[in-house]
Amino acid sequence: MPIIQIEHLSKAFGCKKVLDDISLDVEKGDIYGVLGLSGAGKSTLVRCINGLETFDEGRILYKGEVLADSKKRIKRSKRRQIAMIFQDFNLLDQKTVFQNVKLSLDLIHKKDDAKVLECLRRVGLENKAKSYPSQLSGGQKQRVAIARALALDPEVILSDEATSALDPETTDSILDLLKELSAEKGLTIIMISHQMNAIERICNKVAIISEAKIVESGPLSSVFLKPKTSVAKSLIYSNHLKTVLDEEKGIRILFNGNEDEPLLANIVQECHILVSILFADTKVIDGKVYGQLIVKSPASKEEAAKLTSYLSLKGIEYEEVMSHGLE
Amino acid sequence: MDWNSILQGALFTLAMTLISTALAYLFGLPLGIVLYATGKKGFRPNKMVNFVLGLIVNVLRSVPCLILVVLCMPWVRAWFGVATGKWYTMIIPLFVSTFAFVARLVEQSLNDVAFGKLEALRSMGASDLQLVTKGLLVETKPALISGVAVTAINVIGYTSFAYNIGAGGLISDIWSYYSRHTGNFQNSVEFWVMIVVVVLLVELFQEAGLSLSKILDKRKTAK
Repeated sequence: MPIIQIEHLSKAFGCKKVLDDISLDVEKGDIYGVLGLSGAGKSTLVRCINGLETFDEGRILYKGEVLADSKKRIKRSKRRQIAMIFQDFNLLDQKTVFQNVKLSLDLIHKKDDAKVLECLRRVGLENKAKSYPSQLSGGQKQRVAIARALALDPEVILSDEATSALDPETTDSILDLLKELSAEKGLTIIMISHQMNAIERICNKVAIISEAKIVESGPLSSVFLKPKTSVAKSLIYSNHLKTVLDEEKGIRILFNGNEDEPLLANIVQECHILVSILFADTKVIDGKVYGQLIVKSPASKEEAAKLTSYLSLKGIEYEEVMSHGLE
Repeated sequence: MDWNSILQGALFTLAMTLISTALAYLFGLPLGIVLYATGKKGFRPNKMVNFVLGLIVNVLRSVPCLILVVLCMPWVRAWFGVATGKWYTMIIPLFVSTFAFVARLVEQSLNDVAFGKLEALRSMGASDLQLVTKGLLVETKPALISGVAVTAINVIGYTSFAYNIGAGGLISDIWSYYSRHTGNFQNSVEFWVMIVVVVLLVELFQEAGLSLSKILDKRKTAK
């Protein structure tokens, strides 16, 4: 059973729909990315889960039980199982790091200083316990916020653009921390972001939201390798690629982990076609290559046909792409 | 120079100020919190409650202190047996003319707390009361303390009206000194000494409030 099920969620501010019939299943242990441009409604979506926003239609289930629907919000006791981290950290400036983490325990009148220290140690800030937030860097502040979230032993962490205010290096370290925590504790993470890289780095699933609707969702590899909608494509391909393709026709070759041979060298040797690369974005995961490569279409028709038939023969996925297909 | 009477005047002023400021906070602080909570940016928006409370506060703030001194007389008499002539007869009018001001001041300070901090507390399951005690009051402590100083200084100014009901205090004493020596009051050392004491009292509140607020504020304590 999914740990969180969102069923037909809709919400409007006045006559503007911000969520339009959103359904999403999140399994335990998932790191579920929700990607979209700002204003697409993705923030509102997670805020509905922990009751920071109400919604008009639909319901949200937690472990099969109704967590919230259009009439009643989440119960306070349930809120503690779903922690949240924010873009601007939202630490209390007048409290020390230690007191900030202790705060979540204070709210349930629980005194457990050992737990506070354990959480701080886990995020690598045990030596900052007595500092105040103003003395910390952005990344450290987010670590404190994560420690604060961990103190109540939540099952789910909602992350609302948690790395968007951080520099790239710090972003990566925070993301890696979240991934480790998810693996260690079986934590489920729902991660809102407008940064492709952030989602790509740690998520196993992704949903793309555009204009209040989910336009694509599923395992990260299938959505990112083969985006179907133009919205998804424009989010996933870089701007650089768009300008390149304005002038050239390309063939997009997909690597889905099955390719062992040096593909380009083979093309040159066996088809006698000299291909030039327009764009490449590949990653090695568990020793296998994933990603995509876009090569310039050969100028002559014969060569182009030769190339595509070679790719089909080898069982390699490809498609012809042009700039307007990415819009 | 009559040092004893200057000391006594200063003590009366101090007593009026401290007691009525304390009372004003006793009522004004919760009122300010409710004003904030029911306001547009608050965590329990309620137009009706906010409007009614806001109206009461605005009306009270618009009535000049001297008028309130007169209007409060029946209550003062009911409470103390006398309505004039004693330093403590000023406490109730000072309190009434101040607590509405305090409510607005508190509301203003709370408005400066980033809403996200309250959302963080909410997401941890905080109740309304916990939002206030564990979040709002903690974050605004420095601002609230400097607010107390501002209020007390205001109240010192208001103690001038004690002259009108013969309730005493240093400022009232300065006025009566003037009215007894209209011809040459500027040349009298005692007159100026009294003024210096009033200025020192105000400075005392100002400096104590500001430095306490600064010491307690953890936002800028760079290592």
